[in-house]
Amino acid sequence: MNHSLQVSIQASIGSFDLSAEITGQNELIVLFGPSGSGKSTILNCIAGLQKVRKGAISVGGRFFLSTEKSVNLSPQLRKCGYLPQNPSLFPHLNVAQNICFGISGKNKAEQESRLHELLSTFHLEGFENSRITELSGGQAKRVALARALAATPAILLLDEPFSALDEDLREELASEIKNIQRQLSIPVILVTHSKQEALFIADKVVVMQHGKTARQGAPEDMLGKKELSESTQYSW
Amino acid sequence: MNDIIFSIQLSLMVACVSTVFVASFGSALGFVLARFKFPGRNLLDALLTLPLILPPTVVGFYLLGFFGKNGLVGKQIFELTGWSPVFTWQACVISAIVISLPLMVKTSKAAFESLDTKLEDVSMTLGKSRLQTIFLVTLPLAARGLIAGVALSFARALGEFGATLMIAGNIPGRTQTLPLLIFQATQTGETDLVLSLVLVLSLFSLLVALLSNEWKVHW
Repeated sequence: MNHSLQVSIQASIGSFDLSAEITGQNELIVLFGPSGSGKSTILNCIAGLQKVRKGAISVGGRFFLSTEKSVNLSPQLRKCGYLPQNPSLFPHLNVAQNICFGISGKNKAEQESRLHELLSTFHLEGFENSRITELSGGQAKRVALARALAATPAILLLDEPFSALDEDLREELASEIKNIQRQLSIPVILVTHSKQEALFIADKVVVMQHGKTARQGAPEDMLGKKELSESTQYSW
Repeated sequence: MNDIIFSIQLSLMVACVSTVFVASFGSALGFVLARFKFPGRNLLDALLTLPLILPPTVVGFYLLGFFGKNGLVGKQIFELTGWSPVFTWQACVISAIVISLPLMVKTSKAAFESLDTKLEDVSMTLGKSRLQTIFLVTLPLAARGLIAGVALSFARALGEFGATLMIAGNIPGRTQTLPLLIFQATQTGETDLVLSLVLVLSLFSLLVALLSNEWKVHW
């Protein structure tokens, strides 16, 4: 099955110019760079939430956008699994309703089956009827991740998924994300400005600088072998 | 007694009819002002605020200029139908709409502005269209603010006096709403009647204000 990812875009947001070139397969790609370098904007462009001036985005051979071919799918047709930095759970819905939001068109039995599968994967059993305000930060991130995965997306976009979590939770969630990527075998793009996080989780690192993708490759090549050897001893 | 019952019935009918219009049109205007940037947006916002600031009699004067037999719109209506809304119950509705619309627009605009638009973005990435997102995410989350706006608009429409007097007159059994009846009873020295009507209207308005404060609490 084709899981290739091709992103070649140019966008302008006010006075900020973005130019990104990313290629990948079914792997975990980390967008690494300082705050304000355009990492989250790239995720928004791929999800269809940010207007792109020129370029193309294709996932698994399917064009989300191609200014040359006049293709520009709406966010609802792209159906990216998208996790914003703030989990953005719907506060008027409970945990089960949040997770099933994207699969509400399916029949009840299918929804129930998928819900229990995801509750089990993310250790959320017993929280189905909980209100969002009753969840801890880690649980909220898990619910948001489960919601993003419910409709089996072709690509998963994670914007700083470990922010505001303590060290134990970060390590646990990072391992879960890695496992999910291996199981689903889809491209995952994860945004971070933490070198340790990037080195711990990435199959490939794309370094962002001033709105441009400066370089991309293996984590040890992009972030330095010295840091890699340090990171293997690094404990979250 | 018949005049009192008629006034209460007319006031409730005017408040209900105007609130239906104000709730739908006002919340749509609030949404547009909160979410879209377009030339003239500030002017539209200011124009919609005017009835809140201007004395109701001035608003009534403008309405006469608009809906009077020789008014901008009234002339066309009269030429087409031979009917003029001035001094009819419909004029009471028109003045109630114009006076209470700013409350609904302001409240709904604030409700829509306070929403995290990221929630709408997430809804669309989960396969929902813009319209579905409005009904599944935006409106449920803004509901408390919208309900508060409806309650305030209803109470304001029920108590409308100045503009109504200008465009609908004070005709017993025809256009005499509850506030107009209170005005007339005061003029004729019917103190007991005035006190009881004032008390009823005040308690009702207090109840609406309390409920709207309760509903204003956001998620």
